Amino acid sequence: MLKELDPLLHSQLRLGVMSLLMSLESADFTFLKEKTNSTAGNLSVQIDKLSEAGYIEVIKSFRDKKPLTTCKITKKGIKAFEQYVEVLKQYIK
Amino acid sequence: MNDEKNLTPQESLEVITSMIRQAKGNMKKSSFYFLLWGWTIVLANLCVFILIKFTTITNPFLVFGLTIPAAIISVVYGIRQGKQITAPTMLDNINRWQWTGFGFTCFIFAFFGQRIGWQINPVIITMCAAPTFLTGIMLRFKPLILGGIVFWVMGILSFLAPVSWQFLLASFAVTFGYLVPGYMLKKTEA
Repeated sequence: MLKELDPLLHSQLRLGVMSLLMSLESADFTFLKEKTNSTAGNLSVQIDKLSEAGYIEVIKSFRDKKPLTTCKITKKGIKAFEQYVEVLKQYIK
Repeated sequence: MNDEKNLTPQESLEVITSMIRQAKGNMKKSSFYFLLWGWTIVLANLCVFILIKFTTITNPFLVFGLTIPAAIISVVYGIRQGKQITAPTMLDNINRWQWTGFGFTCFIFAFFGQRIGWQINPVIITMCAAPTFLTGIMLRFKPLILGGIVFWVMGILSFLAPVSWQFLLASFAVTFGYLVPGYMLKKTEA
């Protein structure tokens, strides 16, 4: 019996964001938008979902008087991502 | 990317690998520090060597005071650059802290230099080897890897050389350990 893939991660954009944050110390909103090739509105919604689940930490600050949103993966997020990859492996086998 | 699309396991795997590829190689290169410190240390050591060999000045080591403005410039530049990096990698952070740590260690040696009879040149040259070599590994940049090796070799020679010649060896080590790789790195950043 195959385990179910975490629905929160099983979406193209959310999975993309999580994959980027797995390899980085942190990333700002513009970087994520550029690399995932998404729209600001959609990315913002997905980041909120990941943040609400405790998978990522969202830090709001200012740089040169402009608002800056920085995202960082949490321990819970790393665990969820690793689990997702493990389940994915079973599907591919 | 859109959010509505239903992913197959293969597609999930593709998303993960393509994003990891995007983040890979994101490590910030910075030739600035190699050039700043390269020139500072080469000039200071050459000055001291010339002053010892050709003049009767009693305290030529004061020239090393040049490292103080260099340290201030490094900190200011580092803070400014840190603000510009939008997505630092783990390696960026490791690299930054290994050099900050190295800087602290050097200043401790310089401060307590008298306690080891001011024989700090061979120690510092040898200490330059590991962070230079590791930065080369992290950036996958051979000239810096070779620069690290030059520091190890020159460190050994320095321990064997008379004190006055250690300054000339240090300039040589820093020229090939920092300046040459620094200029080559600068070319790749352009």
